[in-house]
Amino acid sequence: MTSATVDLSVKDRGTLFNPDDEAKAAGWGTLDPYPLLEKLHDGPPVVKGALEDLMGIPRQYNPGMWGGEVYSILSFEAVNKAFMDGETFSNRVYERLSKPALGDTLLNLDGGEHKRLRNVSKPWFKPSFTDGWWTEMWTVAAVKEIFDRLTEKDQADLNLELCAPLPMSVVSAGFGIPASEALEFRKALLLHGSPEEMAKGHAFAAEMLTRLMEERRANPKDDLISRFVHADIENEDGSTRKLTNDEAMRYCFLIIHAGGGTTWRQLGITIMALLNHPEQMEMLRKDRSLMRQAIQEVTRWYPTDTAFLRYVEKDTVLEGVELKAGSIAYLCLGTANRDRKQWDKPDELDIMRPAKRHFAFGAGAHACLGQHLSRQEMEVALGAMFDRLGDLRWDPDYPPAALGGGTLIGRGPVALNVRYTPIG
Amino acid sequence: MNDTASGSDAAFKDYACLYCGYIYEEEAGDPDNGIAPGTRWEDLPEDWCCPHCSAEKDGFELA
Ligand code: HEM
Repeated sequence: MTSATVDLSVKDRGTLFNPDDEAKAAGWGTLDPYPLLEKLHDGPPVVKGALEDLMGIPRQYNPGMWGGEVYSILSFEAVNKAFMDGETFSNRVYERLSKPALGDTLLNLDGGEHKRLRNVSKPWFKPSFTDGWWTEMWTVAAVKEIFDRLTEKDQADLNLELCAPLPMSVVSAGFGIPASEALEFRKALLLHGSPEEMAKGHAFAAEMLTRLMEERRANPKDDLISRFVHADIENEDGSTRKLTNDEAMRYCFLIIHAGGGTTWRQLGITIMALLNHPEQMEMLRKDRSLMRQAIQEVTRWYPTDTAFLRYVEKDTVLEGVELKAGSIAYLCLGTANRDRKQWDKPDELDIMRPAKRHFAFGAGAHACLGQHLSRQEMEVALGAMFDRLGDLRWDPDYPPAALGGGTLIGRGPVALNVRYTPIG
Repeated sequence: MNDTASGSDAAFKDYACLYCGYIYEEEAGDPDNGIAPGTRWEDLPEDWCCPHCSAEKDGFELA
């Protein structure tokens, strides 16, 4: 039988899938952001200065490279306004954050150009399509294989054996990248490393994708690469054309990159949160109709990324604070998702809260393209965890699980060592 | 006063996407996606989805 998933417990994963190793490779500190953000709740919603400076930690972003002033946007209302007003708070920041590695992608484009490009893949990330095509074709098979492996024993590191391989396998399989090549492909797309390493990795990934794109152009299959190479994009004048090879390639790079690491870490955060709140885990195990709101709550409470940047395109006033054109604004999810005016006891995890909007998946025109897929993957994974790992508990032979990763970027558990009674 | 495409006199409503914050304003419609101004929420085609994040109608709530 061909394998649908990558077994990371036996494969060389390099620095991948340990949030601390990934953060160190990028040169970031790994302190938990929340104690450092605590004091900011009492202050104004928009503050002059870089978020790291307000938190008292070394810089992880480098807002100085744009040369303008720097602001931190902290409250729910203010972060919402900034995310929703892309004309004033643009994604031009990604010209320096992602474009050098990934080229022009959805991330760094704005306005009509962004919308036309995003429309190409929108139908493949609608909830009904992700629930149908993605879940039925790829997620269920990957989850089954992972849990068949897990239930051959009674202890595991769910970080490496569930959270990391699942999204990587689903996204790769959905694209049409064979599982045997998925890990090499993912390693090649690392965003951090020396310029030579990055160029080498990207050349490798580009070569693999070019081969697959040529194959699918001649013989389309039911996968995303086939969809991309045959997709139409609208021109500015309303006419349509096919995506160029290069455009299709960059789109694939972005989605494969964005769709693996985030869901890995967020699923890990979710499992850790549930194991640390056993009464809530039990409620969810017994009543799966709570799944959607439980995931909404964990992503509110601890999103894998704490802040995103925007470029201020024109002079503006936000919550009474003047921001000059050319400034950089930090949009702080960490404070906005725990805004005291929006939630009662926001520092506490409570899966019984009614689902309410927050910013773990961003907002506005650049809101996460893969968010519906990601939620569904997490739901299927958690459902299987409850069904197949009985009496799930921390493994007492290991130190308590801890969250690591960059303080502002890429947080997730370093390991999730558990014991259980295998079922089925 | 006839303030809607469907001829109803009820005030226009707004619906917010739970996942990305986009607001569907009945009065404005979603002309970029072929939805005329004044189109009531109930009259949106079933395959209409959020112009930003692709959430479907069940991902929206009255704003
Ligand atoms: C729990 C998992 C995930 C989280 C927390 C997450 C979070 C985010 C956030 C916050 C943004 C907005 C960034 C910004 O505004 O600057 C974003 C954008 C994006 N995400 Fe996700 N994401 C996740 C999973 C995925 C998956 C599974 C995919 C695809 C398969 C994906 C694809 C993308 C893409 C393509 C963008 C860029 C959208 C644009 O700029 O128009 N993400 N994500």
